[in-house]
Amino acid sequence: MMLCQHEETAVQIAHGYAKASGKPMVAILHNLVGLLHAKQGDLLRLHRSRARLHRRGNRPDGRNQAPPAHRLDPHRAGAGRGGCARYTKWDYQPHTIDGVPESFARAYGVMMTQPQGPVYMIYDRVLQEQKLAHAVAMPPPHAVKVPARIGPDPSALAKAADLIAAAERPVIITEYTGRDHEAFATLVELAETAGIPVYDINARLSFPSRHPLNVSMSKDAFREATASCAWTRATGRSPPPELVSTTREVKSVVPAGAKWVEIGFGDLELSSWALDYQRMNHADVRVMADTTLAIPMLTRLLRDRIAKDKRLQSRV
Amino acid sequence: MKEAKRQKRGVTPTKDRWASDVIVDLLHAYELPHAALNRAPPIAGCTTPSSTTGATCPR
Repeated sequence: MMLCQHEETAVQIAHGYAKASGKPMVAILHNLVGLLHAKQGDLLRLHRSRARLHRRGNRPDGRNQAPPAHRLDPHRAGAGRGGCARYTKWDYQPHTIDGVPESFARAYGVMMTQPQGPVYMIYDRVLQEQKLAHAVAMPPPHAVKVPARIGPDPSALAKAADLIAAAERPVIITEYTGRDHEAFATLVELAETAGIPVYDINARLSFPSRHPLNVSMSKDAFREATASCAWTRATGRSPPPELVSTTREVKSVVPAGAKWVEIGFGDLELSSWALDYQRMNHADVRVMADTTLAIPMLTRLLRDRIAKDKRLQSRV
Repeated sequence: MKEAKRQKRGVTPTKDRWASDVIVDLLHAYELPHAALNRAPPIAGCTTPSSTTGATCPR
């Protein structure tokens, strides 16, 4: 247990641990002020999706004596909980100790299901300080803790493969593929199999920066693109536009006729509160799937098409 | 030996279990070995039961 001088520090430590290890970490915070401080860390979570479990010791009346249950202040408790609901995937307050294991199990599953994100569990001090009068059943050890990943629609993925195979100069733009360590190597395999340059937005490191097919930091790859494949966490990630300083006009560097394929979690994380997505790309193919699953499948489809097509072989 | 060491540190083992122990059991069951903690501002004078070691009380 690490004692932190500030709630933001506690949340960011948990966030960093989750990003580096792929495993969740708990941040324990106090109600209201602690939660409000923690939100600063949560704001960053919206941009860097990873799993964290927040716990809070709740004492709504702000006094040293533990209040009886009937004196809980719903206004203050609700203010904290309601405030965090927009930043977290789920929040819940069990009111009896028997409700803790089930809600904990649900919280873990919600948090670790892709796209991952923090959950917020509220454990009131009154609840925590009660002497246990009976044994509390834990979740069964054989039960699956996290559901399987979201796979792509095979027919939609085949359409995506056809479109990429037909393109003269395809480009991949990636944002969060590298959030999963497994996916890092699979994206390299896809790029090398089909001979497609990759523009990494670097929200995560998704593609090796010194790879010959890495075209990050250069918009030139998009100027003559005939198909762009976007692999994103949120919807509509497009290449960085170009600003004409004399007219202050913002232009897309992608030719108007280019086709778009979008593979990722699409609008799953779209929030009415935070505008961290861009303008919508009217894609030709949209596949909602975990890229860790979809990219190897797409690589196999493209490999089959390349084996039968000499034009594609020459491009690669 | 362990008991002697604990008692030397002023920690008296207790057979009583508290509700906060259930939360700790869950952290172990779900393999969450680390926790970053902020114990709240001193004006509140509070402690978080599962974060401190007590004698006969989880505080």
